[in-house]
Amino acid sequence: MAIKRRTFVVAGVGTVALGAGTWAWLRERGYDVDPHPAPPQGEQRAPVGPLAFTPFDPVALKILGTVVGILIPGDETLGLPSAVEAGVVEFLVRASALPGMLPVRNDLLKLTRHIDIVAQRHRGVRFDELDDATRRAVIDDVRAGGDKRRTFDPRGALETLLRLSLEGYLGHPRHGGNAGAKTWAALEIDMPRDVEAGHEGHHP
Amino acid sequence: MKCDVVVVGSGAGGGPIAYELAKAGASVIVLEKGPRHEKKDFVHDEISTCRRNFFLPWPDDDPHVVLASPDAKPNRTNAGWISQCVGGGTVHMSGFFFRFHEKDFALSKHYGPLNGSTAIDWPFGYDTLAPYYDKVEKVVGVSGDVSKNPFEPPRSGPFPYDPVLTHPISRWIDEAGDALGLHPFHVPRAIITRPEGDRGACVYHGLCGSYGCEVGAKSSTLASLIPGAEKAGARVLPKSMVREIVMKKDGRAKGVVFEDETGARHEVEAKIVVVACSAIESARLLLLSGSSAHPRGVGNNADQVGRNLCFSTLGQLTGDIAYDGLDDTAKAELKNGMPFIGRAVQDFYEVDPSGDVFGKGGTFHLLFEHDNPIHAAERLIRDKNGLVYGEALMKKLHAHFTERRTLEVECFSEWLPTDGCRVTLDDNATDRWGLPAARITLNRHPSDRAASALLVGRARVLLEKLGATNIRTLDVGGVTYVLQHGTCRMGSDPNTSVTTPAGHLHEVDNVYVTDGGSLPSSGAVPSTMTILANAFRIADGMKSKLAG
Repeated sequence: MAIKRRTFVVAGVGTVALGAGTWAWLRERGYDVDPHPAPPQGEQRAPVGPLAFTPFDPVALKILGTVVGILIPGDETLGLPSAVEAGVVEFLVRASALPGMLPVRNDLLKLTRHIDIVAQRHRGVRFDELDDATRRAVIDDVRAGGDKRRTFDPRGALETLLRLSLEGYLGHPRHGGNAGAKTWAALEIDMPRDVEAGHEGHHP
Repeated sequence: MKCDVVVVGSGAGGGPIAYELAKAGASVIVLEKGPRHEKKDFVHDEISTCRRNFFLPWPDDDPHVVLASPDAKPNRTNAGWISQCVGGGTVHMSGFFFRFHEKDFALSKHYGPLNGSTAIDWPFGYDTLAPYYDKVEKVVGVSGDVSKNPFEPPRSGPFPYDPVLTHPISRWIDEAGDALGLHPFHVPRAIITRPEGDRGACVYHGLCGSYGCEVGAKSSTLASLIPGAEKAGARVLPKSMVREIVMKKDGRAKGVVFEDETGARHEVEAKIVVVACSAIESARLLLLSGSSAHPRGVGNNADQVGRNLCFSTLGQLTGDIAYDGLDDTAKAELKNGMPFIGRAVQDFYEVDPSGDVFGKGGTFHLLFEHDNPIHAAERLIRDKNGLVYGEALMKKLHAHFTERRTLEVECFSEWLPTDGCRVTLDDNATDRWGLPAARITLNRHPSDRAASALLVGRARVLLEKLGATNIRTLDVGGVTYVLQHGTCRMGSDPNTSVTTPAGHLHEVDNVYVTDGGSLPSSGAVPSTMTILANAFRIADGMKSKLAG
């Protein structure tokens, strides 16, 4: 059966337009339709499906580690450890694995993907391939609300990450952060000890 | 299971009922949705205690749906929940135990018609409740000092417990107050200052609000009333979620159905059903229950259940007192580790009517910013440019924790009930038991914000007199979700109230509501003391009823 050339062209153009429209529509609604950056050789990615729950894949974890370092860089002159030194990344992993924290974990995952996409779109390379100053500039862009989507609020997710990071930075060390209670010591925070532990009253 | 009295909830509304009725010889079963915590569970851990689901549920498990105004978008949240555990909200309360003032019981009588409000006067006055306030102070345990508050309503004698010790800054506040012609006074606390039975005296950790007390000094019902009730034979069943009140054909209640932690359902038959699971949840339970005689929910034939919801109106401000610039003595005083400031001001409880202020202001009290460091840090992460992080945040954190102390003022004023402020059942959200969640629609009377602004303004003057800098208003006309009232309010008219002055439903004489839901108004102080006193009052009537 012969198809007229004009019909063929119109159908082809229509199909392409429909595909592009669908892509834009899904992307606008926060669906992850951008092609993922190809993981470098040998890089492990979180498998799809049920697993002993690991809240973040290695790519996301690496981005989170970098971002919390930007949010809470520490200050040597003030004696303040950085988020990474304080164990905030370990804290984030433990905290995000709690069932009730699933919405938070999902937001953080979306945030890492968003940051990577923004880096590629505006800087041409993946987030982790940028230098420190440019990474900070990318985070500043996210804070400013650029590239926002209708169903995902990157600026809100960045704030969520900061709040959760502060938990890991200033919370009880039993949760994996605030390693050695060094943040409390640096900030002269005198958290009262538990009576159960035999230490009544405030920390000396 | 069968008993004389089944009590749904074990906090300020349920605790006194269980205690009084069990001691009077009635068989009592208390059904508490949450777990029972032991003293050892109350650890000083901000994350697990205050920021996870230790006291409050995850919104996905057990949502409330809040509308900030009748036209607002519904928001799924855990706001409006009070601590879910044996002892209820009294376990994680701060325990500021003020009495209502005489005029709080009769707003219309004293202030005239309150246009735009659905407020009704209480069916009794302060004099009726005064002996029960005394009882709360003695049996539950309240410490304080009557000598300094000229605005204190009449009382029969001194507090049964000496006041808690206070930080040296309380003297600074007294002096600043004197200079301004104010009368700062010692805040009465639901904290005991000498050991009592199994309860220890306060050890001044300072982690009262949002925490449980590991020595039992804070006067939760878990520490003060539940043990006595159990000693007298009451059975307390934690992790027992009441699904509905079961009605009989004669229109009276047969009992309740609850689900235990395994999911098994049980029925408790009782002569009296007491609903005391918070103003929001008590209304929800009544609306979830029904029969042919109560097609719109138990006790709701006049469509009053869930209406007239009122919280307490909150104003909040903070100010810093820097160490820099103080002499060594003052600096040492300010650095003192005593956690309680313990000063309140009621000079503006009554004010001249002006604009939207109908003649009532309220109470403000001063405290140090909560010891929770994450909470404090979160207040530093925003400025006019948005989120603060990086080096700027490091400097702010260091300055905040090492260079100054932050004072906080909480201002409590009336929340007038209005037509649109109510609890209903949500059409979409359900809890983990598959039951419709409470839908909380807020609607504010203009006087709420006006009175709150007045108090915040007066408190600011006191902070300035103290030498505070960087004074920040955090809230004006805000919502104290943990102080809930009105949804099943008492009254003589069944068309404008849900419960009788005796505390039972107008339509069902063996179903009582004894929590904040039964209070017709919020007062201008934290209301937990009044909820307890009213529950003790209702318990006396119940005893007579059972005896008869």
